[in-house]
Amino acid sequence: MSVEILSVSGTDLIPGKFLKRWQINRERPDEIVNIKKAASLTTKEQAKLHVLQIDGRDIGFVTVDIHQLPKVNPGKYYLQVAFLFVSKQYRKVNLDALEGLTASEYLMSTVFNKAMDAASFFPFSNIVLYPADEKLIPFYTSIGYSMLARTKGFMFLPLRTES
Amino acid sequence: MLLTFSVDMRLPEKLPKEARNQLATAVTPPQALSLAAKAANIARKSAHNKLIAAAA
Repeated sequence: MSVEILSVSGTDLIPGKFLKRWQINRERPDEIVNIKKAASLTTKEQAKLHVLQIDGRDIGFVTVDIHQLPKVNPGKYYLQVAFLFVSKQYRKVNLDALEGLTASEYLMSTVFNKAMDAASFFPFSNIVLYPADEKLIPFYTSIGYSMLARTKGFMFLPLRTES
Repeated sequence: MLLTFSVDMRLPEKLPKEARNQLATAVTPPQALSLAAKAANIARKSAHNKLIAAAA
């Protein structure tokens, strides 16, 4: 089986074309809005969008961007998971091609691996995200994220291993 | 149905001291490292299979 993470850009992000690649929950119109926002951020070169494909099938995508930490920490940056999306039929499914991982676990681990590589030459030391729903907090906790104190729902994952 | 989404929200400009300390000192928990190692291994195997298929 072929498992690939592809960086998507340019005309592949035209809203209608990009939207057609994904199966959404029809009861949640915000999913369409968020897919469009992810494509738009990437088109404006404010983020990078990576698609997970298995044997050429689109499974999900993650959009990441980099921001400077608020002024108290000048010169320090964090990687933000702006959007994470998995097509409806693959949600919470342990995939054989991913050796039992879910698409979300694989996408988030890929972000972590890329961030760890980049942290060796770029001054950031955390991944930050804001779960779309409180129900997602246990998922993010299970893959290593912690609640950030007194910041209303933000979670973070340090890119700092014990020496 | 559980939504598999995070949304684009930036950290507030004024971060509380506790949050700043967390960001400055916390270390990667073991479950993140173990999951990352598994994902990296899957990616390596897939790339290897692709090379073999291309060479065949």
